[in-house]
Amino acid sequence: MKQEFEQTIRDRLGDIPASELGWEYDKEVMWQRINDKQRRKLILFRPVFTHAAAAVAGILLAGSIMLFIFRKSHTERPIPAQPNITLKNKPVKQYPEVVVAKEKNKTAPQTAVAALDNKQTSARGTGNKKPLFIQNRTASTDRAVSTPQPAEEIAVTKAVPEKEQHGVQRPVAKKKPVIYWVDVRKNYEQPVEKSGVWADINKRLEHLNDYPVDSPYKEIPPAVAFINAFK
Amino acid sequence: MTEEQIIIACRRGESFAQKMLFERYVDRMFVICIRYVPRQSDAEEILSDAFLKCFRSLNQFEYRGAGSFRAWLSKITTNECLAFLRKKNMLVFTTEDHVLERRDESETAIEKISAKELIFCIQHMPAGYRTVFNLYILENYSHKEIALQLNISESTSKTQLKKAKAWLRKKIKKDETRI
Repeated sequence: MKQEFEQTIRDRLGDIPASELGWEYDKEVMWQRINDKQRRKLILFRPVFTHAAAAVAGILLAGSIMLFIFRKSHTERPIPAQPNITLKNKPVKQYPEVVVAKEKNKTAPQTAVAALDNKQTSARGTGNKKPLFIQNRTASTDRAVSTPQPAEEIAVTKAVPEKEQHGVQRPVAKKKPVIYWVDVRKNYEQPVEKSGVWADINKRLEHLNDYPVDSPYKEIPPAVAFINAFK
Repeated sequence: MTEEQIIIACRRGESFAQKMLFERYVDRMFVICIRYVPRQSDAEEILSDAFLKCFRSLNQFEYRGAGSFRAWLSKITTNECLAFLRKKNMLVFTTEDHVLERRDESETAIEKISAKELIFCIQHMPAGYRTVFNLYILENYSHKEIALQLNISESTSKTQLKKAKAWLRKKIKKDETRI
C-alpha cells in the first residue's frame, strides 16, 4: 500500500512536461536570458584574469625588490683603507721581451716600409743591414713603392724597458710640492728664522705698525697667508 | 539530428545546437524546478542557471545511450534548486504533527486528482517536507543521499518524508471534500 502511493505519484509526475500541466512561460525570453548570462559570464571572467595577472606581477615585483635590498645589505663590506703607495711599494712595470721574428716573403705594407728604410740607410752611407725597427707609418702616407721586397730578417722591438736598455735604475720621482696653509696670527710665535719665507713674514709682522699708512706692506692679508713653501 | 550529435555540436559551442537541446528539455526541467520552488520567477531563474551550467560542463558528460543526458541534466537542475533553497535559507525542517489519514481513503483520493493539482499540493508543502519528498519519491534518492545533500541526519530525512506523505494525504482529502 505504501509503495503504491509513492508509485502513483511517480507515475503521475515522473515524465510530465510543463505544457501538460498548464504552466505558461515564454521559452524565447528564457533562451535569451541564458544567452545573455553566457555572454555576461564571459565578460566577467576578463577582469578576474586581469586582476589575477596584476596581483601576480605585483608579488613578483615586490619579491625582486626585497631580494635586491636583502642582497645589497648583506654584501656590503667596509672598504679597506687605501695603502700608502710609496716608491718602494710601487709595482714594477712588466715590460715585454724583445721579440725577434723571422719572416720570409712578407709582402705587407710594413715590409715595404722596412725595405724603404733600409734603402735610405744604405744611401746615407751606413750600409749595414741592421735590424729594422718598424715605424708607425702606413704605406699610404709614404712614397709609393713599386715592388715590395721581401725582408730577410726583421727584428721587432716592443717598448724595450729603460733598465734593460741603459742599465740604470729608474729615476726617483720628484718630491711633490707641499702646500701649507698658515694662520699668521696663530703662528706669530714661530721661531724666528734668519732667512727664508718665515723670516720675511715675521719681519713684516713685527714692523707692521712702523710702516706708513700708504705702505704696500700694510696690505698683507690680516688673517691667512698662503705660502708655497717648497721653494 | 540525434541527441548525441546535438551534444557534440553543443560541445563545439554552436548556438543552434544549444537551442535545440534547450527546447527539447526545457519543459521537463521546468516541472522539476516548480516542484522545489513554488514561485514561477524563481523557477525560471533556476532553470536558466541550470542550462548555463549544463552548457559549460558538457565536456565532462559522457554519453551512455538514450536517457543518460536527461538524467544528467535533471541532476544538475535538482542541484541548482537545492543550492537556491540553501542560498535563500528556505530549507527549514518543521516538526509539526499531522493526523494521519487512513491510507486506503487517501490512495483512492490520489487517483482522482489531476497532475496539476498534485503539483499544486506539493508546491504548498512546507519547504523541508517538499524537498525530502521530491528527492526521495521523484528523484529516487536514498535517505543517506538526502542526508548528505541537505546536511541532515538520516532519521530526520525519514521523519520529514513520513510527515510529508501525511501532509499530502491530508491535503488531498481536504481538496476532495471541498470539491
